[in-house]
Amino acid sequence: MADYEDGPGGFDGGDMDGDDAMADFEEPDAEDGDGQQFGDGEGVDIFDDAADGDGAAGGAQQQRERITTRYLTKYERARVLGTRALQISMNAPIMVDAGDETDPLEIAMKELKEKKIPFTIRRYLPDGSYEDWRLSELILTDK
Amino acid sequence: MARQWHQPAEAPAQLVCTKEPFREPDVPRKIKQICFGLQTPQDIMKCGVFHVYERSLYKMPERAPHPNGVLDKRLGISNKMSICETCHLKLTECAGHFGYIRLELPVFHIGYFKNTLQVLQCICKTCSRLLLSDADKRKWSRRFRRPGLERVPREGLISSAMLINSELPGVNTRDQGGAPARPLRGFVQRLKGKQGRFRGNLSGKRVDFSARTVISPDPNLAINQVAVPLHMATTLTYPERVTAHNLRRLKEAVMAGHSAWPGANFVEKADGGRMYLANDPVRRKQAAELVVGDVVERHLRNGDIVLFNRQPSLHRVSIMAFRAVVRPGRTLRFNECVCSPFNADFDGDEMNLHLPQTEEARAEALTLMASTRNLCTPKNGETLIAATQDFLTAAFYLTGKDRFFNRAQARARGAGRRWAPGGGGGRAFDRVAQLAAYMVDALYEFDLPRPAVIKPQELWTGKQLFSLLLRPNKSSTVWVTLELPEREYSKAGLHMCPKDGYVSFRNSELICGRLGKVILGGNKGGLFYTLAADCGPDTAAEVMSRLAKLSARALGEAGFSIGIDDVTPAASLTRRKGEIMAEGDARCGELIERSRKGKLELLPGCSLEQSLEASLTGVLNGLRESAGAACMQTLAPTNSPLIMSQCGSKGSPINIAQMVACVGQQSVGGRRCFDGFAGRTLPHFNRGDRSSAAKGFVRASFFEGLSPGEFFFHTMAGREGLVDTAVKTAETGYMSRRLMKALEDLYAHYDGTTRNAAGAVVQFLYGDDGMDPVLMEGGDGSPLDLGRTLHKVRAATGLPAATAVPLPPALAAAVEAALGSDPALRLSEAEEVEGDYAGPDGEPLGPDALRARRAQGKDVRPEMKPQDAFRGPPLEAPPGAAADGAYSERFKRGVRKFLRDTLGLPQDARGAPAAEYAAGLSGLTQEQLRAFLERCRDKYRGKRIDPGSTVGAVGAQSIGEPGTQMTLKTFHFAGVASMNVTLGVPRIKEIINGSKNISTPIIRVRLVNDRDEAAARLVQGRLERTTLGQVARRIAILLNGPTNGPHAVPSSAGAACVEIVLDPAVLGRLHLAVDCYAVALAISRAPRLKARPALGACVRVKWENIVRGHGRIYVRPALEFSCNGAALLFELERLLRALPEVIVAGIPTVARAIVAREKDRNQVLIEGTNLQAAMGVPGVLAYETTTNHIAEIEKFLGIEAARVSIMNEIKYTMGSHGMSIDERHTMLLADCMTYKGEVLGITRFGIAKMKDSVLHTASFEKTADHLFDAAIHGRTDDVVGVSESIIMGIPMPTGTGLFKLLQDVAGLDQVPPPRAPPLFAY
Repeated sequence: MADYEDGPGGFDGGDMDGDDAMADFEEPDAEDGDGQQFGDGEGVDIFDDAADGDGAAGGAQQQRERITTRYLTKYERARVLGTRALQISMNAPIMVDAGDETDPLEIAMKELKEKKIPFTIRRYLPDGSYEDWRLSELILTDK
Repeated sequence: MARQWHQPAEAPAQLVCTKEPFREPDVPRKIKQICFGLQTPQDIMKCGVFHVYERSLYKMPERAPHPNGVLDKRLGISNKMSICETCHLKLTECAGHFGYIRLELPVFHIGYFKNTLQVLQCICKTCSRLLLSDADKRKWSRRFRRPGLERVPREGLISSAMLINSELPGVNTRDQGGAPARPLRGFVQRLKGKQGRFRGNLSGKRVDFSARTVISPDPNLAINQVAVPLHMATTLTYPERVTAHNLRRLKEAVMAGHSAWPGANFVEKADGGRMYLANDPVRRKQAAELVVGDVVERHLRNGDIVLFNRQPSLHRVSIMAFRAVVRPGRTLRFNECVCSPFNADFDGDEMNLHLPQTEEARAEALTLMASTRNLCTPKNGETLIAATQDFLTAAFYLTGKDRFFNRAQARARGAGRRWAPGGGGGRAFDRVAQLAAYMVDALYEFDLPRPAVIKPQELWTGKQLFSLLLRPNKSSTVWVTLELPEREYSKAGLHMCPKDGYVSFRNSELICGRLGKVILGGNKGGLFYTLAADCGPDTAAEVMSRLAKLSARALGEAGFSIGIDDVTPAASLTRRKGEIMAEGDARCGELIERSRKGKLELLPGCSLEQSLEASLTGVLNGLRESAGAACMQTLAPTNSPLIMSQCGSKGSPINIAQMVACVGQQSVGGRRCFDGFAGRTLPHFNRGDRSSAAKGFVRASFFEGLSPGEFFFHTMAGREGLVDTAVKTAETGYMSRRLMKALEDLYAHYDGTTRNAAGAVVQFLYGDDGMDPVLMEGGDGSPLDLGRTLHKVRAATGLPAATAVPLPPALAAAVEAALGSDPALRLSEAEEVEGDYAGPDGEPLGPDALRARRAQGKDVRPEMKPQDAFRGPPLEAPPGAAADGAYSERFKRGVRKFLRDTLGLPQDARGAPAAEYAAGLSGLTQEQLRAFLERCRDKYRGKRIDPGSTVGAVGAQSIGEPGTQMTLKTFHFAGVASMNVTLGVPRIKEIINGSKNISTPIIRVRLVNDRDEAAARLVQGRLERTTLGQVARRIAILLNGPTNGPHAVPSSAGAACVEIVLDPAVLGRLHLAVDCYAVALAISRAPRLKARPALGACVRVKWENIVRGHGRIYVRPALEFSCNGAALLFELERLLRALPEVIVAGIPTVARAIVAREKDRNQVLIEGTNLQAAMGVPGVLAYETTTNHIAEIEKFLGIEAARVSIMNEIKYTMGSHGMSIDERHTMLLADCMTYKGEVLGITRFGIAKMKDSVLHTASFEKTADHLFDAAIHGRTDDVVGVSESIIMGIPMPTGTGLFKLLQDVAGLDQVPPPRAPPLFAY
């Protein structure tokens, strides 16, 4: 678990995803201060543009032309909605006018439709490298 | 075996304890790897909490467990009262602890017995040295030398081995010390088997928040709803965190408490306290103190997302997400349309319900598993959730040409929305169509169309009602256009079909056709499929719900029933049946008579008996069919069974014929009933009776009633079906399990490849085109139904004022422009089309009233036009994403070909205005072409397989699930009556096992000259194994063989020999070029002629012992026998027996070859193996000659050919049972079986070669063996696959786990200042 040894508190946003088993690189570790931001502890990593440069692998990834699909896959959609709904259910600020809606999931759907969810998707290729796609860059389809 | 959890390195300076104290990890941890290894005595001591040395179990006066004995309470407890003395937990929490026993003498570990033996075999038994050279020994000695390998007492060995594995070979259960009836449960027994630790507790776990009860139907529920009994709703809870917007609602729930619905059962406070809302004071207090951040375990509410499942869960749609609707009652209820994915009926079936407990689970369930997202099965893309049974009957009933509804009937009694009559002045009336109201639940408004008949009475047709069902009001954007023949279609006249069997929807209006199963069932191209594909699955689900409601109520009002008069045959039918039966009896009698006289024509490759049976079966089946046909003619059109069979809701013409006219031939094992008595089926018949009645032909109908004999035959056939069902369930279940284990970790990655968990590429592009099977529109797995797409474009766009018909070169260019791969080009094209594609307005469809209201500025719903469906923003084209730009060449070719074939006028007839206009009517305008291509492009792009899809698991299900529906019927005819091929489940098993020996290998030989019958016979003769006995007229012993003359038998032992006389007539008939020389050669080479050992050393007939000439061959016994008369006689007799078996021509492995004619082309079908030899025979077209034996193909043609062969064989087998599977699934299976370079069967041996993971193979079969093996070799497991992840309880890198989410911190500035962070996080 090399990831946790170099971060001071090992507190990089509660990595519950358990999916870097295939990758042998270092996370762009967030500073301790970031760890206190909201969104902490909820299935997401903190992603900062400035911090991104530090992660050697991550920085290099951005140079290459991205090859993965520009459509939001249904799995990405599900995970984004779920994670966002969890944030909302834990009193995260809502990025759209929710109206009368109280169901976190419905609110998350509305946010996604308006592309207001501040997430970046890190897609891992089989060789362990990855591509970062901002949610706003991806095409939403309602299939 | 030891499992060592990988732990971070500890700080070096630390107190070294004998036993590591357990500490709660304070950082999130992840299991990265599992290492297997052998435990050292120190390790074992560390695992144990204390040293067990006391042999007595109980301390006697107290009757308490003896301290330091095997029942010590520090090892864990076995009753609910006591508390574990090690961890101080109760029975449910404490998992138990190990003690350790110091052995006085060393024992063998039974799991490592084989390995120990191997070690011993490397050691010299006299000097105890390794059997190695000194250099090697030095290198290896430290690793292999073990102390104390001396002999140990045998009894001690066994009883200690029992503790590890109680199922030892050669050990009686009575030796086990315990009670004789119950064998000991050793470590191995705890792990292995279905109930063992691996399959029972690690791969499958028990869950909370689940419910199970009997199911019942409810057509009033929507497709995505399930009715949950109140009792369940108050027991199942969801932990909802209190936020500002749900505070009030949750307070109310807390006040209601656990008994009233909707209430809550628990409140969890921020400090970790948990309150059961048992009584009023607690509730009031908790409600008052409820603050943001608390968690309320509230009751299941209406609209909650639940998972609904029925076993056996054979495919992914066996569990789907529904919206809960809480209802009184005791059953779980859902819409009947959803029966088929669950394979449920309501004869007492029970189903399970699960309530997901987190927002993430809810979201995934709703977006991925919702019933509306799974209308189509991934097996072949057909809609599985579709109208069934009564819904079809009702739709058929309603859409009949004679069905009219008047206003009185069309008016509801209750109040409803006003509706404006056509042409009226904007006045509205107080009534609404009752039938229409049936289907909408007062949820939205609908606009009645103009009545089809106005005078003398306003009348609406059922078809209009159906149009309304699709598109209830003018603001609806549901546009369906489709044309399809129903099953009643008379095959002529299209829209004007006299039986009204041609269904045409145009812009959601039912133009013609009576709806039945083809349209409303699961067919591709059917109504619900089209709706789901063109308007989205939610629309399809909504229309289906509406249809369910309308059908149930309309049919309830009209009444639909079946009675005895429905199945009473008319007098004319009884008469006609008598004639048919008499005629049939006569024909059967004639056939039997002919066969008795031996005058029956033989069918190719059949004996007399077989020929007779085949012809009789043909005649008797014909009888039932003609009786059935006669029956169908006499039935009234109002006959209920007839209506049900016509619309496809239940029953077939055969079923009706069996009830009314004649039950027909009963068959067991594909043949007429067998003889259970000597020479006869039942003692009621004469011996050797072949007549129809004696062999199970039932001439009575179910209405008439069966005679005792007939009844007996009927039960024989019935039992076969029951046995089949019972047997195939177990067979296919195991097959599915193996398939799943082999394919489970294959999924599509972001780079388009299909790989296994270890990262090995199985396919470079999934399915060779990267498309998702569930979204394929074409019946053959092609991505788009081009015909329907064009139809829809035409229907929607109308005819622009100026028709510009594209010319052929422009056509090709347009295709290239739309489907080329340059993103820039596509973008400009999209903009251009958007500019001029708006199109002129069509004829306004709505009533004038609507326009009037709009003129007055009143609030009206927007009136939608079909064209609107095509107005949308052009697709953006972000940079990158090369994967999106590519269109498979096959697809492009398909579009081009389709356009060339469909375009109206011949290309060169264009130019003149009149012709142009005509082309505009029937051809395609420039705009339509563009719209068409745009649509093709967009749809194609949306059908790509999503990275992360578990294509392997879906493939395994898609092949395993149809297996359960296949009847176990093994045999089937492959064109030729006498040639049997294994089909069904046994054949699928053969294919996926990669069997080296298959039961019916058949080589299909193509011929160079496939027109000439004689040429085919010639090849047949050279292929078929021909024995000497077949071509010899006589084989006999000559004690006085010719001693002089040209045929003199040179012998010192007189002239005794075996004479063989060839039969030139037979040789000529078989077109065999076999002469004495060839026969002699064959005899001298025949291995079968080996002597029996008792008779001495003669191995085979020697060449010089064969004398030949003029169609005669003399075989002389070897010299050794000449001395002894008895031996000579025996040898002659032996030769006489063995010689007829000598193969003189053909391929020895070919038992039978048959010339078959297929579409004017002759081919030879071979029963047998050796493809290579068959290909080498002159006259055989080797390039097109194939076999169904996959191992042979691999051997002779290579691995790629084997891969294609696997695909073809599965497709053929499934196809012959009327099942279609998308090619991509079989392709993946074939690729998985062949990607290692050899054909690996989906068996425990093949799977072990495919996968590296210890946990995966251990959770499949031979659990203990794999674990012991892993331990002794010190294997590691990286926990990347599906099975491993499930066992370790970590998310798997598939689907939603393939990527990571990162929070954009930069974006946070734009939101209002963050509120106080939540009081605590997970």
